[in-house]
Amino acid sequence: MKRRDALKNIGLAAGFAAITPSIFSMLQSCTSNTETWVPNYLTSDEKTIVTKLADIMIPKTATTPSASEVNVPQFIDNYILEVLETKDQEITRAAFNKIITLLKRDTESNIDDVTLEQYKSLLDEHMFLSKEVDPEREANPEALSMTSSELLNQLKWMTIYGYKNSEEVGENILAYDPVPAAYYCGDLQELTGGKSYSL
Amino acid sequence: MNNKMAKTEDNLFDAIVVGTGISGGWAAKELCEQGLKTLVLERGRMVKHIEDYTTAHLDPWDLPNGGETTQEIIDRKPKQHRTGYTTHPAREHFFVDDVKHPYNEEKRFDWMRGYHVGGRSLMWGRQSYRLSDVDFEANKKDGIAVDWPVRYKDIEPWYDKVEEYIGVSGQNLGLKHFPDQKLLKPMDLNCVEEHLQNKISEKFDDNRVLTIGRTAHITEGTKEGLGRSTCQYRSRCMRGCPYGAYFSSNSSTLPAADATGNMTLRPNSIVHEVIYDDSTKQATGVRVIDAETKETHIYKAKVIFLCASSIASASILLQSKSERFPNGLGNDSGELGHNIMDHHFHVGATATAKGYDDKYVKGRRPNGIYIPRFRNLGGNTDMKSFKRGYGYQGGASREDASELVAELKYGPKLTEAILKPGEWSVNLLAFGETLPDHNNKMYLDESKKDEWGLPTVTFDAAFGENEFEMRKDMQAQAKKMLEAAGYKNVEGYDNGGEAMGLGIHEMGTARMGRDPKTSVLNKHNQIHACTNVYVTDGAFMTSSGCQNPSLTYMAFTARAANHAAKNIKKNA
Repeated sequence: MKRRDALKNIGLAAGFAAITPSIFSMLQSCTSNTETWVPNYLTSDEKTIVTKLADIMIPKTATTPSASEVNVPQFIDNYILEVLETKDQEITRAAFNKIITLLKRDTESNIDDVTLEQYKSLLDEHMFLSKEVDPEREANPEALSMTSSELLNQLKWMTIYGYKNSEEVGENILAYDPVPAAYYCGDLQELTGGKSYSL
Repeated sequence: MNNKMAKTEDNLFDAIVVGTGISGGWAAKELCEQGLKTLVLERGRMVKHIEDYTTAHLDPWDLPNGGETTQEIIDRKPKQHRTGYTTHPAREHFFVDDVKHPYNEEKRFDWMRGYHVGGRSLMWGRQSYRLSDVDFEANKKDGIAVDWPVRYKDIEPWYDKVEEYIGVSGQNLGLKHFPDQKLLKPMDLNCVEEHLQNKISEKFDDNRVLTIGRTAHITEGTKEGLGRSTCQYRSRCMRGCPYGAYFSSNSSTLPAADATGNMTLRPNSIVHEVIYDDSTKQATGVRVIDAETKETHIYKAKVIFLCASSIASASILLQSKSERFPNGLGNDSGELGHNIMDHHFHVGATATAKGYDDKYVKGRRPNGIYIPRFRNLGGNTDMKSFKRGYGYQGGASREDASELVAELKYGPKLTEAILKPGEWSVNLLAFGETLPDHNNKMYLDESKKDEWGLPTVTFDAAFGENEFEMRKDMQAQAKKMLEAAGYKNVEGYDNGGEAMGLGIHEMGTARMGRDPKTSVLNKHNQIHACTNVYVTDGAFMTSSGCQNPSLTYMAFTARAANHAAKNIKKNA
């Protein structure tokens, strides 16, 4: 409902006329429950991994929600399904399997038994940042497949993208300025309190 | 707007305008205001101002996937997707479905377009610059192609008229090759751009200067049309502006035409032929296929304005065959469909500006900087390696996340970094003139028909040696200016040049000239040998300049429409 209030406050009545009933129903659609949602693309194991990793990357703090609280896992699930090309979906899935193997070192184990610490170790040991060397890539520079590190980095990027483009973060955490009505250069603290804009 | 067919005897009008974009809107307005009963034909659907801007207020979270283009869209619009921005879910409905509207490429050509009332005036870039006599005299001076049959003084009053009506903001600089305009107050440069402006003026002695872009946005007061008011700095222009702040046919010229009571607007009307009568040496009307019902119609008029876009107008003329014009109406010269030009760009340099971490901006300015042409203007500006020149667009802005994001894997520090603005980056993106070349052409493929049974367009055009030589300088000078300003991480780039079209400035397919043997149109945009047909979209361009061309199309259209109206009244 908050979103609807924000729209009501937008500028001229003329502008408001552009909001159609179908858009209202879209705005009112409820967010799904983190635990019970059914993925459209991800497998059950992949859903668990995406959810855990997203919340490690962006955990809840005193002032900011966690990634899963703003439906980042659902965002990633849909993003892989609708935005990635089929061949990239396949590459992503294959890389997920590498990660599942890394996490379930003991093949008997269930993904639900993987601890938070094990996920953190996965990131500490197998995720390499842009300035670091990814040994899996170095061993096979021409391979079309994605390395474990590349998938973890892709998940990080998607987590950030989904987080920043969520309604809660976009309207209440970042600086939200839908109708600025002016353009000028000014002091960062005065303009946004040091935050980035969401739009 | 009057959307229904007025019942006139024999479908007879004073004037027919084909197309409703930048040019068609102006033709409609001027002809209707001169009292002519005018039929305006648009091949696409109706788009009503404000009401049909269905995405104008959507935030990223109101769109699936944060507004990323889905594979479903790309599957229908693989060619429109080549820009990287036209298929964004908030605006892709204003760009054609490539499956439904196919074209052929002997050489790759990126033909970006929308089929709807308003045409590309809804999605245009809005940068508005005049040509000068440096441009109008260029072909003659260089001995290239043919001379423009007009000079700046012929067009100047029409530029004045158009600018005063549509509203263009910016700053006059008093440069001969970059004429002053009728401008509303300029938008602001930001603090980094002001710094760059000072450094460029300080460190270069060839009169190069940085200014704010001149853009067709209202920055003060209002303008005529459907409630046109000042820019709100939302930068969602391509979705249609609910404030009517930037100029479009939908907000401005079509309502003006409608207000006269003289306009009949018929969407879903595909014009495919201009009918020629050899006994009078004039055109009598047009053949139309209804895009939805596929019924065919003939509409007649005393004068016909082709404003369908450079490629589409040439295509209509090429389909208009008669005994007198076996190769297409007005094609005595063999130049129809030839001399395609577009501006070549995607070349320049980027850098990082340090020392402005405590600065940020209010608002999203739908405009950037402009550095007018500074090459081949005489003296120390003349270049041996290429003819003509280029201008830069671009500007400075802060990245939307801190660069620390790249150095962190997880945790609250990462969250903090993604919520903070990043460093200031500066981009100088050059737009260069393309020389006219007879070998660059489009033609019709009669063996490949679209769903209306009409031949499809095939492109065979590419940038040439002069453009590639110019690109070296475009990149080098961008780097030099950013280095002179003391910025870090200065990097040149050249990601374009392999195909025409991405400038979305395709032009030149029915050029103006003095001699019917070497050109299609005369100095009033009339077909030399069939003077009641005017072509006033980008097809008429004899050379390309390096300036964004829409303003010039509007000025020539207004001039031609008044010329036509005067002739009709004289003969009445």
